[in-house]
Amino acid sequence: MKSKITTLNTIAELDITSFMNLMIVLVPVLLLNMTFSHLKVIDLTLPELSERIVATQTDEQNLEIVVNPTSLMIMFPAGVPLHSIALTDGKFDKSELQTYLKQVKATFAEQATPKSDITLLLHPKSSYQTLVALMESVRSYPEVVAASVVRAALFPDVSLGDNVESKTVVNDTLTDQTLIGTMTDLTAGVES
Amino acid sequence: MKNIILPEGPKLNLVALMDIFTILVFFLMVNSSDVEVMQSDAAIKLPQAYAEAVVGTTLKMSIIDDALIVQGRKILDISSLQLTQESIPALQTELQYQASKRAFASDAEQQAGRAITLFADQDVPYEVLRLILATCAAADYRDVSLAVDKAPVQEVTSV
Repeated sequence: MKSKITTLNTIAELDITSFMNLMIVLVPVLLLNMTFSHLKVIDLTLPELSERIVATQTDEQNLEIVVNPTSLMIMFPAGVPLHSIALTDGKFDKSELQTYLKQVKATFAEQATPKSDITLLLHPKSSYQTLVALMESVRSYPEVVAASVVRAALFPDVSLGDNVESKTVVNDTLTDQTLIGTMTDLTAGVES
Repeated sequence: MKNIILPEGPKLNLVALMDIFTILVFFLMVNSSDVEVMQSDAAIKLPQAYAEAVVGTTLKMSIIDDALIVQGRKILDISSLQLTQESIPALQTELQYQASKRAFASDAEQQAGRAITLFADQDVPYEVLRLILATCAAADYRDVSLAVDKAPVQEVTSV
């Protein structure tokens, strides 16, 4: 009886001391190395020089956003204003733009002419922040699908151009536009 | 009688602590995979936007204050740029030199062009960017990545 008690209480225990030591060293090392950096990139593919469109863009079926110092003009077909959004200090209402573009996208889908390209015509003094914010807004928008947020594609093929005529009437921005880039979107979520 | 030996004192129960540490270690290991960060970032206030892609190991071009810098070497002053020209000769020379040091890794890379990452302040005007991008394209650096500061997740707007 006495011996039975002894064996019950000496059940082998895992010796985890060395493992603990390792963990205690590893955790601070990894914590120190951890960078809470939010550095990300947006990919932009520039066309080859030979493909570059320097002359007048004659495609009438071009969806455009013209960036003026104080407003964004959504145009379709090229040169015909559809909608205007206020631009103050290079900032604009992202959700207003996306709501409108969603309607535009839906209209294209209804007419059986789906469209995924858009041209941004920027004023020379537009800031980099405006350009990046616009690019991000027109590529995709957040959408809730099955309780999780995904990015739904809007107009992922973005081209950039100059808005040279912006000081005068916006109607003839087409006269001297140079397309310098086409963006290919690798990260867009589901097609809406 | 003297044979009865009971274990002395209570044992430290470390199971829960071990669980936490194990989870923490794996979490940190997964998260610390992208350790390399640009150290010269402090002077640049990157634009904010939503983006998923991470920074690759490409050629780095930055605009810090007034200087245009490629791989840590100053090329020129932004203020001395002539905005009417088609490209920047000094930058093009530098990019061609950088390109000459390394051949294309694959046909796919040749198709897409060489990769370059641009770190620019959010206040840089478009006319400067356009010139820089045009020069990159001319030097066959066509796969441009624009570095951004990942913005807080945008609110989901329902239609």
